[in-house]
Amino acid sequence: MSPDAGVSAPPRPPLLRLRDVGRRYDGAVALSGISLDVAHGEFLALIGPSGCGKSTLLRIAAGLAAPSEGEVLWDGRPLAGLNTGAAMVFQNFALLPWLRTIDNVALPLEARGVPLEARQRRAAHYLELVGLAGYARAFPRELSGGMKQRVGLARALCQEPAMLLMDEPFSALDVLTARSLRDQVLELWQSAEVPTRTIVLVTHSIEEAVLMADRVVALHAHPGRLAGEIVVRAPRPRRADSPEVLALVDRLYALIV
Amino acid sequence: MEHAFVLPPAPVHQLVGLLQTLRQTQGRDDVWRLASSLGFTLVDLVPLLRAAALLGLVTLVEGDVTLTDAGRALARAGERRRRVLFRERLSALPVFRAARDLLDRAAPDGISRESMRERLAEAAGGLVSEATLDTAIDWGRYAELFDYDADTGRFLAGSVRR
Repeated sequence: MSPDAGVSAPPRPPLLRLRDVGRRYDGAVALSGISLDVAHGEFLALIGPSGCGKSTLLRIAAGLAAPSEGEVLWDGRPLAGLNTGAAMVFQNFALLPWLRTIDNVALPLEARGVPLEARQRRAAHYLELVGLAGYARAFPRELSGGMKQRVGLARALCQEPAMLLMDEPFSALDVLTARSLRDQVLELWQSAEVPTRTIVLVTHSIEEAVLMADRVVALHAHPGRLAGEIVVRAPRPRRADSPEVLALVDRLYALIV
Repeated sequence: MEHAFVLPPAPVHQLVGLLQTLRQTQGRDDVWRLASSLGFTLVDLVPLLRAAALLGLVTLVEGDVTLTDAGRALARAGERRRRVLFRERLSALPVFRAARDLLDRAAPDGISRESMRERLAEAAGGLVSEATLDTAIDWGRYAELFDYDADTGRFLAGSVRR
């Protein structure tokens, strides 16, 4: 019998907790009164029209921006400065054109002081996981959009963050390329080879949010504030034309409009 | 075999997305309907379909596109398996067999782009376009069949891992 039998562990705090968070830019209110938890292992999507502050929210979670009011807790403790437990995937890939693919992936590891050989090995491993082992020596200009974003994904995952933050990662891609990348993100999230278990996805596509996430939080614009949320219980892979998905898409439209 | 060395410009992940889309319509669709449901013009879609057909992933008959067993397997596979399946498809194409054969017999520093183009043209008995060479590089790298260094402009046989 386990020594802990009969003793229940204290509840684990959410990985990320926002309490009444607000953000102002030059007197304008970008976000107001946002209270939101992201649990360990959760795939959360944030949706809303432009001006709803969803990207600002992501930057606050990453520690790239500080809230003007309210509090951000990371794993139960106040977040101060850059969040080293989170890594970001950007809409426009943000690759350095003069670096080969593998060096783009390894770059954040260099900033974290990982020795050269270890970071090359880790970068090669993550390139392999996203299916681009054969592109290690290629330059970004030689890659299709779908491949550039896979490099962006490998660069984020190779930091082995507890939380992956994705800012409109599919919106610069055509529909077919986006579909294959969405499937790949879900495959990696569910893979035992990737330690990252928690994802926050910002998107303006309601359908994309419902197809991917466990929970979808909708925001209103001007100022950005919570509009409501839905939980998606349908098993994956989900189909865009299934009645369950269509019903949830409808409900989210109603929440936002 | 005059078309054997023409490769339509089709990024690998667009091809994969196409196969995944077809899988959701019971493996078959009307080309015109598919284009409109994707918001693609036929000019965008046709090279993809031709590439998929060349690789034996779909068949194109009378305006319908149908997944083959190989196409279905590739759509369903996880990333690692997909790469293996893709390599098998490439190995069946004369242009990749010829390129691989040239690289196997080349010096360790590989073959220049120009020389590769000329020698593939000799093997094909016709011209090989720069666009075909670009697609060959794209697919060949994905399948890890060979590598290409854009700095030196050389095709390389060796492992791409550092």
